[in-house]
Amino acid sequence: MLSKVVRYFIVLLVIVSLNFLIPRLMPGDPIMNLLGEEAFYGSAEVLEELRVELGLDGSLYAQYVRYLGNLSTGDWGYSYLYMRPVLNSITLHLRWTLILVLPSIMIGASIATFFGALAAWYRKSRLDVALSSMFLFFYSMPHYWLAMMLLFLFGFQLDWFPLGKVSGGSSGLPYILDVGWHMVLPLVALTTFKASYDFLIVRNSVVSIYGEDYILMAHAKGLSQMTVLFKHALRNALAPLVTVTAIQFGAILSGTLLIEVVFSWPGMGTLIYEAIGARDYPLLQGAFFIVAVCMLLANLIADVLYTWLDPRTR
Amino acid sequence: MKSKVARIVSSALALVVLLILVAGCGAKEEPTPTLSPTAEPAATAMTEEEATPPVVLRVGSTKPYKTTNKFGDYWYGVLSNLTTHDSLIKLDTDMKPTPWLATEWEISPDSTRFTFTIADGVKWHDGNPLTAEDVKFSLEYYRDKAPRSGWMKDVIDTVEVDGNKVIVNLKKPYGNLLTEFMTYAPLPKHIWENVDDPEMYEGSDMVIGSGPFKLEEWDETAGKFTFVANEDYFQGKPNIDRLEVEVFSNMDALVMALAQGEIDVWWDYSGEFPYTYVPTLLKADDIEFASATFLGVPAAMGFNLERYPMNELAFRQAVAKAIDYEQIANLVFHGYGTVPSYGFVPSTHPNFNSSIPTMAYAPEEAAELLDSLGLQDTNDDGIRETAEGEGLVLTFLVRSDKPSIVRSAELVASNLAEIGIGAELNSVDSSTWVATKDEMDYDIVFFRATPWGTMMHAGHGSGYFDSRRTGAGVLHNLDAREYLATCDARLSTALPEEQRDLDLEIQELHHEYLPGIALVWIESVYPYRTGWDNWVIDHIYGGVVNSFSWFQVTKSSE
Amino acid sequence: MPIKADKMTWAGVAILALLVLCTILAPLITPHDPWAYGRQPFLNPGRVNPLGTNDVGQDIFSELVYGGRTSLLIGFAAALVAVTTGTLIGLVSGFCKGRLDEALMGITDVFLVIPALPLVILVSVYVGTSIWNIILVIGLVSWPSTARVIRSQTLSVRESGYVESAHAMGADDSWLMWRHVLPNVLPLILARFVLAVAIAMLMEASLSFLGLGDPTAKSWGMMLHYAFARGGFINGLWWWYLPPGLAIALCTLALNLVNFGVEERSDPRLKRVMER
Repeated sequence: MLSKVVRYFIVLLVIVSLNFLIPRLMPGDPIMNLLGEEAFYGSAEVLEELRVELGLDGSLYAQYVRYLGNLSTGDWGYSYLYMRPVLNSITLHLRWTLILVLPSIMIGASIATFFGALAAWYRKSRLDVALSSMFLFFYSMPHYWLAMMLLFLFGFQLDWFPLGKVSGGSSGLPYILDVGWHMVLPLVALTTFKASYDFLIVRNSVVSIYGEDYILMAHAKGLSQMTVLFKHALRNALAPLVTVTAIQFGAILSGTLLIEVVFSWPGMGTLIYEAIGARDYPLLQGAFFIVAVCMLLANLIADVLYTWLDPRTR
Repeated sequence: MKSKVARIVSSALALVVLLILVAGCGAKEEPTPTLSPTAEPAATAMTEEEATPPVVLRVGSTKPYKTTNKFGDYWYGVLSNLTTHDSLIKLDTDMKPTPWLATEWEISPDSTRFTFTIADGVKWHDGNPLTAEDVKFSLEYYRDKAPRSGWMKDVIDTVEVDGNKVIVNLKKPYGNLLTEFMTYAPLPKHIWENVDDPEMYEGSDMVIGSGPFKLEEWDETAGKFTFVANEDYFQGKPNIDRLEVEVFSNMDALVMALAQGEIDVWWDYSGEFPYTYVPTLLKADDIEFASATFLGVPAAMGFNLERYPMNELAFRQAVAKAIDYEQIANLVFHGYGTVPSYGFVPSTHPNFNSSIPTMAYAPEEAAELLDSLGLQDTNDDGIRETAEGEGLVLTFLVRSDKPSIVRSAELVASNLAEIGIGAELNSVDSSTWVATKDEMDYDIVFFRATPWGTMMHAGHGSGYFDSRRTGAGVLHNLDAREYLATCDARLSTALPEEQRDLDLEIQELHHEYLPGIALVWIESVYPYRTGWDNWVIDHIYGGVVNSFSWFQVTKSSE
Repeated sequence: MPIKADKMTWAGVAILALLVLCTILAPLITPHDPWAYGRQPFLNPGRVNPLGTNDVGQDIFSELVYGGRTSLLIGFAAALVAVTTGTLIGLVSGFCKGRLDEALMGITDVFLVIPALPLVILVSVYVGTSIWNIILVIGLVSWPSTARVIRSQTLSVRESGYVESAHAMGADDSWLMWRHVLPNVLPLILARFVLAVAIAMLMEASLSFLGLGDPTAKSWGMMLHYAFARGGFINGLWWWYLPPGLAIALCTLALNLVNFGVEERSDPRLKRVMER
């Protein structure tokens, strides 16, 4: 357990350094982006002034040292894309990502658990084939394509839902409801995708314990199929799902990038995408750091949960 | 038992509900602080307003606004120039300087001394008067503190105040001063004199200007700016009471909103309305289009004059003859384009040189020119070879985020293939494009010239080619002495007749040296909701949404 | 009972074979050269253009069929890169254990923790957008999960009886690895490969959607990119944006179907169940 934490910590250190290096390896000068397409005049001293202001001056090594120093004091730097401290931008966008993703993980897992268990229990039946095919199909399509079609059908053609963003501007209870209304389509898109993936996991997992002895025992005791399924089989089969869910939580922060782009949802995915385009090093560093921490935490939790939930590994 | 599962599930759900509640309470970004209205009694205006409903214009924009700081946010800077701020002069529909904050101006015969008379009775939004002192302060402030105004350091010597006049003394004659001043808005000295770092300034008074509108609110979450009419505007109250600028992340959402009546008009400062959206708007009810010949060049190509064979004039001429311009106009710009001339910029420009021939698709002549250069297809593989036997395959540098330019590049590649020139498209994101272009790591680069861009430097597109210029969108590929000298001459005179001759000369030089080729000139369209009339077209600021329109446009009651 | 599993696998294989055949026979079944211009943009489906024309007048149906070549090529090639790399690393790591294992798994962890799509975007900005670069980039991002899985399988095979006894009898390490471990890991490798193709195709579609694909290559992802960027969605040109998406979905579905059956054979726990 301790060695695992140590290993994760080392990985984090490597990530921190990579975070610094990778954005700077990309061709392109952030200063040019700041000046705009038509900034036809930028004398050398003016550009140098800007560089100093943004901490982009000096050798790569000097910048690296500065970066590590700042990180240890909690200074995440200043985003020149958003013109505010990096930490502010990140917390803002993180909030919106979580609002969208957490419900989708929960709902997706619930749907998947119910149907996956059913499909596995009645393996090879017509129900199984129907469910499996349907979920497989949803799993196979590019999820941004599904998102776009949802948007165009329900947003544009039918005008049932707004065309993007998080709200139209209001406050208090109407604001919460407005956000909820804006949330529906991206949530459906995201949930469909997660549910279909989870379905396969659950089905696989339940199928694998189908022949276990305690299941036979439950049957022998005369319990109904449903009872055996949902009371006995499921709780042991859920271990892989929980692990997967924990890992999904770690991966969500950027995995929703395309959905966010389609729905103009200002989450972490949008943040990272825009930061890459603008070569906003501090923002990228901060964002990747958060993502890495989340992924590592999630992996750690997943490992722990798996051993706790799966009686076979005790 | 089931309890373990149930426990996990219920606590997770509780967490989710909690998060949403927290989000609901805290997530709404504080809108930029509302400016308290001036203490001016508006009692009389009030009763009038109660009688007629307020005129509200909803504008759609896709720019990435991040703050309401003119210095920090390039796009808000542009928006503020139309709304909350004024400039000394503006260029009208006919591209002539028009008095605005400066009621009149005088230029000394040697073009080194500009005297502007500042209008009377202009007030800042907080009630303080706008004086010549503010103008002097602003020019010096821009020169010293704003990185984009670096040119001022080279050009402006001193600024003096004489009563209500501002006198700008230049280090050298600079004919473009009036045009440049079009984009500089005087700032209130009493606010900015204490600000050392304008780009990072966050005070609520940073939005105060003298313009026809005041910024009431910026809702970042919803992406909406709300401006209200400045009742005390020195030119009189604008025809619009409330101006709402709604920000969209992509054009699809904006066009949908326009078609469904959620916004009234589209606005983009530097680009043309993509023609691929016109069919949807044609099908929608109540959408009309204004149109004007676009001042810029939406798709163009430039040569790397440091490499062979682009450095051969005959080669560039051959390439210019090998392109099917009508095909580009029809397929990429869906028929709204015309074939350009060798002068590069379209006829909307003042002093347009109409004697320069229009380009033509003449592949046989192009092939002959290539043959005469010794570029033949020696091994019959469809590609010509150089004298050393190397296959002639050119690298095309293209920005991936401008699909119409990518499509144009594809068409040019297919045209060139027919006369035996191969092409490899290097499509990169905009930051990489800028870096690669500045390193001259290409054979042919595809770019666009924005309306304002074509006015820069000595005008008529010279800002893109003069090798001494820098900038994200600029090619800086031509260093012929004659060209640079002509640009300098144009910059050093403010006399209209001299300017005219030099303008014609510059366009002629584009024809002679062929540093770049315009691929199309377009009729730009500006969609808007029926019911709005009397728009004024401003070629520089992007069509119908501009300072002139605020005072001309009317909304017919339905 | 295993028959039904085979049915799904064979269904998948059949669909895939059909699609691959179509792309190979592209010149025969397409009415036009997809790169040829000449017709009007935004034409509705008709006799001349079965799926209409795109924003620059090229035939969409021809684009679709030729696009399959690119998409499938990228998918299979990237998967090959990913699985080969992952298998090698997983095998070596699981077999050799010790410090080499730790180091390799550390590297794998780093890659697993960096989010895939942003990393792909970053690297493709750096190396450029030609097809081969895209293949390399996708492969680069996908090998870690394969490495992990292969490693655990290698570990369990290594611990199994006969490997130990062979080792005791003095068998050489590398001989053991190739002759005993590899064959047992092979079904898993196959399953991972099939999955990797699906993932690679979806990733290529995502990259292209963001405009980071190769614009001259007519992949399904690039078709979707232009359909979105050049007014296909908003003008309601479903014959332009539906087919490429469906094609990707169909391909990926077929691959997942194949995987369905293969996985049931390769996962030892499932195997046990099936044999009852």
